[in-house]
Amino acid sequence: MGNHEHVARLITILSVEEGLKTELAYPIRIRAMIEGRPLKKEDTVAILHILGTTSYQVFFLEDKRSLEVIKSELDKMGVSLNYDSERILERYLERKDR
Amino acid sequence: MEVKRSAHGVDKQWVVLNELAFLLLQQGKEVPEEVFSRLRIAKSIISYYLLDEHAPFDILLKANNELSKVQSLLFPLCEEDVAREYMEKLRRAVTDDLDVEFPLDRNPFNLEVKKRGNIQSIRVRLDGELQPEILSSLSEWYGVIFEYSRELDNCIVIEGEEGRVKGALRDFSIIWRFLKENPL
Repeated sequence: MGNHEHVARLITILSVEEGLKTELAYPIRIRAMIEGRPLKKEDTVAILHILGTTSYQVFFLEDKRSLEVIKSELDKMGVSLNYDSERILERYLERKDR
Repeated sequence: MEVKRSAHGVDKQWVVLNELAFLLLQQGKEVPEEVFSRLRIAKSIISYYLLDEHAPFDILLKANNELSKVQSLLFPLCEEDVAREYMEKLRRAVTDDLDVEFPLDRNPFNLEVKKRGNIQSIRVRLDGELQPEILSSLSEWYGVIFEYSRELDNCIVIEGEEGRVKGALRDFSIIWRFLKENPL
């Protein structure tokens, strides 16, 4: 893991359907485009805020592995995931997997 | 009029952290004053975001900054079971799954009806519905703003230079009377 200058905190988890009705629609579409995935209403996304900045990141939540993907993507940006946010995401993904 | 804008669970996280701060106080823990000042700031920001439909999402990030600091101050003060309980509440707040209500900081003044210099804004109650397209045509025709009220149901707000508002209102009274005499 690299040096982390910033910390990301989870703001919210919401369905794509819900997100597309809000001002988060644009970043959700961009993330889907980057990942080359079709937008499905029932998919869920996590919105993470890089604390102390005006930057926020959207990540699709699939299964337990999503957490590792998020952490590694943040790592590339020099950002670490806030401990509490990690626990919340972990619990959410565990329940989603059931 | 009910607030329909969503603060994506940030409002509910505020409620959870506010409750936790007071619980810790009741337990005799020394909760730093900084917690309460940051909670107050976050509350004002969230209220502003919820009440002003033009407030950008970035505003919420500022509230999130404050809540993050509050959380980092509060959790170390918690006993293990309390920490676990409130972590679970936060998880549900993040997924907007927690049934709590955010106490909105609502300005008691009526924001829509006002006069500033030569600019006036008035509100008219309607007995029927008007298509938004008609309102926009009226706006263009009279050079004033015709729009549905954000504060009250079935009300139209007319805003613009005083003379134009008076002229628009005079002609608008014909539509108003028609709607009153021909309810849907």
